[in-house]
Amino acid sequence: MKNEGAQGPVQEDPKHYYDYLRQQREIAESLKYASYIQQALYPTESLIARLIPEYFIFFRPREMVSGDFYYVSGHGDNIFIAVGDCTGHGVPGAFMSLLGITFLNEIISRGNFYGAASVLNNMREHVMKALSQTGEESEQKDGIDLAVCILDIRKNKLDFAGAFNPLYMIRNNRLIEVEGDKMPVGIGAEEEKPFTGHSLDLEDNDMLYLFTDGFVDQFGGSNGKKYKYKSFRELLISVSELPMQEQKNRIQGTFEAWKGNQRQLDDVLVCGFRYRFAKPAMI
Amino acid sequence: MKITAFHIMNYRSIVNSGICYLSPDNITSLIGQNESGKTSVLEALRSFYEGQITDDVLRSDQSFPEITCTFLLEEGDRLDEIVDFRLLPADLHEAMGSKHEISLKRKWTNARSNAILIAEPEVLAFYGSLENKRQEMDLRIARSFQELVQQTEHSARELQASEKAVQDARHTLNSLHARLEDTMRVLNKSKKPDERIAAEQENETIRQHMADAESDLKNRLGQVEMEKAAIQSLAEKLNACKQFNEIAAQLNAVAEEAKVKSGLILDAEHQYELCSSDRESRLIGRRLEQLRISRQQVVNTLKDLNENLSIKRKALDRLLDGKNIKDAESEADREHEIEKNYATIEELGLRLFKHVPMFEFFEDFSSLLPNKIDLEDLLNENTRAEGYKAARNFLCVAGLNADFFREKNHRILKQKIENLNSEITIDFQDYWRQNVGKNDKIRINFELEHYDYTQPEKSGKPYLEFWIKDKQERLYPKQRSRGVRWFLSFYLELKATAKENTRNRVMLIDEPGLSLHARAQEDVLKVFEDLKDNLQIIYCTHSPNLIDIQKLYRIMAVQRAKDADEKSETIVLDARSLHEASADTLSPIYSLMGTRLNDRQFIFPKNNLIVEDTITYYYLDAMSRLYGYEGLVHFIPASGPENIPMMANILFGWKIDFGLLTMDNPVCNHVVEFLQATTFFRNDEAVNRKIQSLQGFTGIEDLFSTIDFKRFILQQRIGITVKNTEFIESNNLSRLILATDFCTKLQKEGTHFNDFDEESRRNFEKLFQIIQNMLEQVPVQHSIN
Repeated sequence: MKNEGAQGPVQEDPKHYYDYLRQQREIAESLKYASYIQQALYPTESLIARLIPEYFIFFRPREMVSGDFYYVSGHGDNIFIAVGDCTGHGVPGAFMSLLGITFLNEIISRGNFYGAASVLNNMREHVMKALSQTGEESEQKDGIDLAVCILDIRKNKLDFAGAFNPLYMIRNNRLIEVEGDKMPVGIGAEEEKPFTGHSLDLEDNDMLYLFTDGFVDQFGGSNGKKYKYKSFRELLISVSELPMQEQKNRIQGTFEAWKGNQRQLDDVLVCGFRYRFAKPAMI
Repeated sequence: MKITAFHIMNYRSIVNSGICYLSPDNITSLIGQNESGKTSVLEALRSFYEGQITDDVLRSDQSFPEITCTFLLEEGDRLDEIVDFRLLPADLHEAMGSKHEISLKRKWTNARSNAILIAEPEVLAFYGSLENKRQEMDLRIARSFQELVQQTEHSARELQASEKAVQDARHTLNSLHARLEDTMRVLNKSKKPDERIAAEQENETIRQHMADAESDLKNRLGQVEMEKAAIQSLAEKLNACKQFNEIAAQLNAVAEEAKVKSGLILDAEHQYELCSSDRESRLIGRRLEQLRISRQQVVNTLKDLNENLSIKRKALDRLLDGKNIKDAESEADREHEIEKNYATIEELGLRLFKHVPMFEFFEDFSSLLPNKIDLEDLLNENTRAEGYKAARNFLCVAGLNADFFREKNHRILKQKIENLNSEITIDFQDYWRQNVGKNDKIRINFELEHYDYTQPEKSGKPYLEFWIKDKQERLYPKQRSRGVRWFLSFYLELKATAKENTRNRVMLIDEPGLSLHARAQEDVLKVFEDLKDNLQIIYCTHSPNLIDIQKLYRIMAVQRAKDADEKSETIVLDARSLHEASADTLSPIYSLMGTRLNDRQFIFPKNNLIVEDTITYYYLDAMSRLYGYEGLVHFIPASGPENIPMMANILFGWKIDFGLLTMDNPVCNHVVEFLQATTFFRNDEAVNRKIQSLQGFTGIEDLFSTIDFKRFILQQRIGITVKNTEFIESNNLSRLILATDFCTKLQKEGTHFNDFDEESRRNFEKLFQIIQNMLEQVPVQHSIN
């Protein structure tokens, strides 16, 4: 074992080398299988399309499994959309994302909440409980940055709450930003306070964007700088009128171009939804 | 069926009791001063069942009694089977099908006759509308008859005039005809041209007059025909009216006859009851039989006449509408065919009455156990034998019948009797807890003996002998104290009644246990409690020992409308309006409670709110201060939800206005259901407003959001994914300590209502709104502080 180090086992020791290769293969297979499981937890395209026919999801995990996740479900007149970014990426992030999706499912299916803020409050309790967080200094501060939207298709209202993550809404080429609270879903430095709920009236053709910070924090471009929120907002405004697939292609293209040969820093997730007034028969 | 309410009118001092609801748990106590009318209530109920009243029941204003009882249909009572919906008009099927309770009224029309009838509003409205229609028709017929007579006379006069006019017209025509013949003769004879021209002109004029006269005659003949037809039509109607009036008169006469016959039968029945000899009985019995047959004939005639009159009425109504007689009669027949299938309200009443519980009046003296009774009297049901009823009850309780005594083997029979004596004694001792001396309990024994030569007329015949024994003595029932005898008879009567489970029973008892020691009076209550599942008991009492302080919903107060005036009418107040009763009426309750709570000013007369425990009280008190609740409220903590009924009973008994606020958990919900079913009775709006359960909140702690619960109550940072109350329970935390810590924290930190998050604030705002609505008070600025 003495040869093992940052470079891995030296090739001169065939036994160790083969073991190393076998382990690598096994890990890769495990991760591949784990990624299938993770994908199975995401809402299917047909479910999302049934609830919101015009949408796109640009999801680019950094590794085979991801700490970013998205969630869409429908209950009565309400459509729930959430986009989350768990602490870390790769396997630890993926574990957290599994917890996040499970908790969201549980909270929303139970239905005992008063709005998006209440969902986040509940989520925080679940995460704190699951990770046994009590505010001790020594404990893990893992959490989830999460944005939750509840669309009321009968009243054409949107209820939003965010844990760090904001909501961008583009109406007539004008971007409206709804900021999230500066606290995570999980234990924070300060005593828990309730998340803030934001209620907005929706108009036909409004574009809603929920995203994680993977895109804006990506280094790239000619100077190797972060992409930043300002550029990201401009990008979204520029594509907001386009059909969904076209928007996704432009965003993906922009990301690839920006990243260039740089290493992807974090998982990237951008979700866009075009809100249309429901036809009377559908309500 | 089970009786749930009664309504007595015009019965002795009771003018109108209003609807009085009985206790739903089958034991109702009537309390009130002497001469208040308690016994009248019991007797009225007895009269309802037996259909008999005595002259002293009647009021001087000649209004006759009307007693309505409402019965709850129990499992297995199928109204459609009892009533047979085919006897009901289709319009009533739906309304009757949804009934859970049914009311029957016994109404006296004179001192001796009464009818039992269904008293359901929909049924009464329907039959009332039929009756109104019938009365309207009768009125129309009476009015039309007068008009028809006048019209006929008028038409006859007109016809006479028209016939005279026809005669005149004929006469004119004949004259003209004669004149024409004259002018024709002149014309034929005349040679001169001038004369001929003049004759022709005259001829022409006459012909024109004749044409006019003929036309006039024709018109007048037509007029006569029309008038004759009109008279014919009038005559048909008039005739129908006359026939109707004749039948109606006949009907009245027969009805009067039936009434007389009924009177005679009642007299004869009365005489029959008073007969002192068999011969007299036979004689009057025969007469009674003849009278009954004769009355039945009259009743049959009455029925036929009624039917006939009904058809005539319907036909006449149509005839007066202008239909021809044939159509009118056939339509009337058809309508009658449908209506004759409907049962009358009396028939419906009788059908239902057969299924109501049997009402029995417990009479002390006829029910006392005798020393001995001939077996023959018992088996032949000789009700006149002394102590028959009590002895029969004894056999019933022991589960004995005639077969038991047919056992030939004397030894086996004795053994069986010995076993039974021991069983009965054990059962009786369960209820009669008093001892003779220190530990000596009395035992009940019966023995089968045979008369010996000392009574030659009965020699060898069996009789039953009863004993009440203790260690020292073996005494006949009559040798025992009045209290023991009464209790034994009472015990036997109730046990036997409860055992006869063929039909539900209502036992009416006037002042039970008058001669009993206080402890034995409590034993009476125990007997009631044990038997209440098998029979309903309504009793009058003055004794506090016969009232269960925890079950004041059983009380019904009877008092005079004017406190000091024994001649004023009796009013009956059921548990819901007990607070209106006078202090004297409620004195047995006051005796039990020892003092009037609201006189002591530690509970206020109004705006009291019972909450389930001290912990709830702490939170509510603290939060109402923070919220700045502007109403006046006095929170009264019960020591646990199971004690809420007792608290409610005490406040209820003392006429203290209160509301009840409970949480949404199984124990509290059970308590609320219990109180709604008992103390507060039915679900009316006013009652529901006084009892509020905070839906969705298991405990008071659940009104706080999880964040506030952690921050203000738990004072810990920890993930909580269950209700606050579940968290407290699963972590074995002390609610009391948490509540105390909460109050201390609020005090120390000077917390404001706005420091709580939106969810908590919303819950408490809603709660105080509920309290405000419950207590209906005039807002008082920060009165809590």
